[in-house]
Amino acid sequence: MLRRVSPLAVLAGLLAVSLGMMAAAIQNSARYGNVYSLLLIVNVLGVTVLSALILLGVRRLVRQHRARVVGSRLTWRLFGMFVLLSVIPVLFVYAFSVQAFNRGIDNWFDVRIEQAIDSALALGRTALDTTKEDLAKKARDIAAELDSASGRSLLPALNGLREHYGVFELTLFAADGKVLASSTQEAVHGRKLVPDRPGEAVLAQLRQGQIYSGIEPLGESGLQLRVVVPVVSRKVGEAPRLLQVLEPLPERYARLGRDVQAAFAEYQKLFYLRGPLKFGFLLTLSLVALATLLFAVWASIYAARRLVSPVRDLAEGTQAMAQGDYSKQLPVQTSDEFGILVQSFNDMTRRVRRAQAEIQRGQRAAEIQRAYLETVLTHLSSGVLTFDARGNLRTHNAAAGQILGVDLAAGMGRPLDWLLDAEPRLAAFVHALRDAMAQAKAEWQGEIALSGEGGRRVLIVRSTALPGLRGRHGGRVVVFDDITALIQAQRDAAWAEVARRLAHEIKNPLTPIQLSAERIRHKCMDVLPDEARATLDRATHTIAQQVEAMKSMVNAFSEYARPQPLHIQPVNLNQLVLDVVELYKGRVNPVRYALELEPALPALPADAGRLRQVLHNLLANAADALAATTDPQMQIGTRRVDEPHGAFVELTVRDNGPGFAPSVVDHLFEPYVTTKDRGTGLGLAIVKKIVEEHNGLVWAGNLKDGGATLTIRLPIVEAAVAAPPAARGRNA
Amino acid sequence: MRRLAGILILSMGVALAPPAGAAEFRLQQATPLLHERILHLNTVLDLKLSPRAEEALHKGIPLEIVAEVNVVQHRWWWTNKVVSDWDVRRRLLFHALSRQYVVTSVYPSAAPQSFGSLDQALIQLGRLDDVKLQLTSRKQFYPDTRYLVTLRARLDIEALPALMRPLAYVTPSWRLSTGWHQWPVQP
Repeated sequence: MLRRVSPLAVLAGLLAVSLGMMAAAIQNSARYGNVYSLLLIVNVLGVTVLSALILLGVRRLVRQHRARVVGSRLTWRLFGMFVLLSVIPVLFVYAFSVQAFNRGIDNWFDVRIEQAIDSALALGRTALDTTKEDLAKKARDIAAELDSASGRSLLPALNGLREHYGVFELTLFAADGKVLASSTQEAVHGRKLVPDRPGEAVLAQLRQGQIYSGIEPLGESGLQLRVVVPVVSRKVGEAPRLLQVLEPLPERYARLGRDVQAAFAEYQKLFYLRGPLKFGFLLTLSLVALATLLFAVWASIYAARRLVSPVRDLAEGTQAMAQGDYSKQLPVQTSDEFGILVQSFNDMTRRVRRAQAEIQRGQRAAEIQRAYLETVLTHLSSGVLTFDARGNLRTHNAAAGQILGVDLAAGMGRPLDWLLDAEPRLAAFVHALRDAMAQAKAEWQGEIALSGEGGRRVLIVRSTALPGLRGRHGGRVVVFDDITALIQAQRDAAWAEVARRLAHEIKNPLTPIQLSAERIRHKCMDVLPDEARATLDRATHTIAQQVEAMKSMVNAFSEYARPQPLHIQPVNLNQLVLDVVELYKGRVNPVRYALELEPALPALPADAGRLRQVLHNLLANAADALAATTDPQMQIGTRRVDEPHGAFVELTVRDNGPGFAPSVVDHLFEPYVTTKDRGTGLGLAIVKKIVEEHNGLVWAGNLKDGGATLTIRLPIVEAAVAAPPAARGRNA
Repeated sequence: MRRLAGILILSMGVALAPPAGAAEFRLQQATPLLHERILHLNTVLDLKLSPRAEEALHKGIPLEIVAEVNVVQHRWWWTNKVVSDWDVRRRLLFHALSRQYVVTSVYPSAAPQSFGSLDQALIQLGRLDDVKLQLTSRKQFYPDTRYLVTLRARLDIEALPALMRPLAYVTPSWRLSTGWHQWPVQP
């Protein structure tokens, strides 16, 4: 700070000193008068340097302002204010001073004094002129007396005349200016002995026949009278000689004359220099005013910068904070209010930094929590969807997409309605969710059945309202599970129980019934008359027959209910299909079989016997369905299907029969579901059971242009083939 | 110092004011002769004062005419080297009581002379008859080297009262000068 001030302080001091000297030179040119011009230059240079410094400062301010440097606007404002505060008073003082000294200088000169001095001069001149006239008269008289003198008589004549007339010096010149004779009073005051010659101009004047008479300054202060007259010779044709009479003014006259001359000259000079004096004062005053102004301006810049500096620091600190830099600490430079402000700012940033760190820790914890939840959600087998208050999808997990069979990422941030167009099979799900969300209840639970390509599937859906801020509704979380398999398992277990009971409850009495019927026949056959015997024979035969039928039915049930261990081995499905179809072709059967078998079908890890039963059941079912159809046809196809979650072998059986009745189409694979007059209703149930034992899928439906279709998908991967849980349980 | 200041202010003045049109100081004739380390100068200057200068003279301001005389060694490859320089200075003063114009030679000093008219005084002022100037330098002259005498006569503004100087420097009517003239001399 000191380093920046001191050169300017030195400059200011120099300027002040030189301005002071200038002022002194104006008032009394004896002091500093000889260096006046130098002083002027020094001052002008000083002012120029100062102006340059200010210009630099202002340019810096302008640049900062353009660059929108923090604090520059405030600096400008303060600068402007300071400049106004300093410039206006200085200008006022300047204007008044100029007026005052102009008037003051004019007042110095008084008309009366001027007149007095003029009169004194005129008086002096008149007095001198009178003396001059007297001397001229004397000169003429002397010249008249000298007209005959020449040669050797000249000098004595001159001496005599000089003494007679009481003049100081008499000199006679020839026409060409040569000194002929000269007579001088005894040398006084160390005067020269050589006669004083008149000048060329005097001689020229005399050549024209005129007399020269004049008063001449003598030395520094004296005055002398000089009269030159022609001395006309009596000889005709001789050139006139010249007589010069010199007479110094008497001491008293000379002193008075000198005083008058000095006073007049001084007054004249003063009067004449009035203009330059005013100009000089104006110049000095202007320079002083300018220097003061410039200093004020410079001081304004300096003060503005100095004042704004902590404010700028604060503003920068605040901006840094706004941009998230909480580590900013400002230097505390002063102990005034600004210092307190800066200290407070530093305290604040420290606190904010601490708070920020806390928040970040909290955020990290929340992030970890979120990641944890996300991991859990991702690995959850249940589908999870969350919706915001407006019903837009916010999050979903992988299981949700898998269960629904759609890519839910496409529907982020939208209501689920888009699924209606994209996946019509999910309409029931979408509607159910929409209804659930429309309800104000916090909890909702329901089962939704979806039917589609993959068969009928049942989802259990639970929806819970999420807590919102300030008691508002905060959206919903929907959790759903595919419980198709579970329901199926429950049904299968129920049917197995039914079958076991049937076997137990029905099969037990059958044997006594059969035995009893046979005993009746054995005992009564011989004792009864012929007619009655025939009846008995028919009746007991019927009983035995029906009991046998019931036994086989019960056996079939128990067969269905009791899981059999699988004998897994590589099976060529195509060959199996060909074998079974060949069997059916052999019968009295009008059905035309169209086979579309993929030649490169991989070997299937399966139980060949059970797969054969599946094919039997399917073909028998189809053949029964085609009984009333003219030109019955059956298509059997196999192909390999590659899907993201595994490779499958798909078997499709189609016919052009009447199709499945709508009333049973949802329960086709349940036991006892049949539309046929005969049959146990277990055909498709057994098919499904065997397919599921192979971890496969089976679904059926009606074709658009009539007929039914049934599809079986079996996984190729051997590892996927496992013993059914029931079998394992039993083995255990 | 005064001269330096004068030159500085003059340069500023030149920058500020238009150049003086017809300079009223003219060199009529000059025959400089260098003989035995003494420069003999016989010069007639035609001096005419501007109305402003004449007014100042009549108001009691003494005017000083300075003839700057230099003996220089010509250097084609650089500025000329000054061997010796003199300021022949004369003062003109109006004596109001006697209505005489007094011409005083300040350097070389001589007794004042009075004239009844300004023209006569100016003629005397401009007549530098057989002014003998002793060379100030003791250096020998080089053979086969050109030497020149340069001369300029001008009104000395620095001799004016201090108050008049700033204005005089920037006023063309105060800037009276013959301009530089030069003559070859044989040492």
